[in-house]
Amino acid sequence: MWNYEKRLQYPVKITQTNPQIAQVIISQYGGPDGELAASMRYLAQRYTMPYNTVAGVLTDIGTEELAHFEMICAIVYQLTRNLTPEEIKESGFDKYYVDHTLALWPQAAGGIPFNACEFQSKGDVITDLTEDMAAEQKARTTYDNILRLVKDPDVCDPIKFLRAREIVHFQRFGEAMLTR
Amino acid sequence: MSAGCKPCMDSERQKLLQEISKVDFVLKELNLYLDTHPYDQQAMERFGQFNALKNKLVKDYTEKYGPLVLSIVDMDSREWKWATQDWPWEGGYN
Amino acid sequence: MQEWKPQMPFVEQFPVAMAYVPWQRTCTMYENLDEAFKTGTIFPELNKPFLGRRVKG
Repeated sequence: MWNYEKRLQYPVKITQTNPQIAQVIISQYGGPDGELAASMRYLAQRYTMPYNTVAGVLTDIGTEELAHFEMICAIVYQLTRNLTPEEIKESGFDKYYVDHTLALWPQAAGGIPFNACEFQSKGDVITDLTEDMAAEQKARTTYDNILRLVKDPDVCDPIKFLRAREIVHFQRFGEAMLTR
Repeated sequence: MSAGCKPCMDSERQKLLQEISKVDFVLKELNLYLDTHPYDQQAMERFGQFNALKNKLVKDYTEKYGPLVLSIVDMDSREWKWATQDWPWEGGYN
Repeated sequence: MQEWKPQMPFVEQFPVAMAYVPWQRTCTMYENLDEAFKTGTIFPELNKPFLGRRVKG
């Protein structure tokens, strides 16, 4: 079962709102290669793992991903805090705003809502771990893309942290594949 | 455009929380490492040391400022600070 | 036709049609844990920062 610690894994302190980049970053919350998809994927796959250590990797990384989508939500929340109607209209954020106001709702940048089709839990240890390694690379590339689009250092700092985590996770899933 | 996060007034509080986050991060890294290296004695010892340190820091923070986990709560307080204090996405004290 | 030589050592020990990731070579941690935290890993070997361009070769 899960407990909650009342802090973010890594600090998010954004001083300047920016709804344009919020619309892009939200993909790491509800998008196909985002942290929520990662978490649901790993936590779903762990039940049928034939090795305890592999179930451990999936549980522990899946749990860390929950903390990561919390960070993404904090980033989007701070980027869109107290926006005026003019700021909302100018940035194109109005399309999201009309359905969600300033609330967080898991969707991709392009608008596709989060759904379970964005991950697989196939019940074969090699298939599932290969899927997981691909997922970490997809997430890493998404962060690369965010770093290409965003220059605000307050935003880039937690994003770089999250990107580094994907590389470590990839390594662990790769090591899990070598389990005998 | 207006400010996104809440400002944090107390730098001592900020520093202690940062220390906790850093120690917890080391624990997370060791946790994942041990999941694929389950017989690494040195890593297990390190985990134990950092875990003890984290518990001490969390207890310290809880006494001074308020709870971070439900398992370590100041029973003398008249206020259920877990719920009344700000939540971490506000950006004040992370 | 040129004889193809495997780039990875010990590839003969690993069956084909499988994906492999090498084990971490060293398990030493960063000495400065503040730096490790900011970097996003305690293992220097796993630090592969974004350099703003595509990875070559």
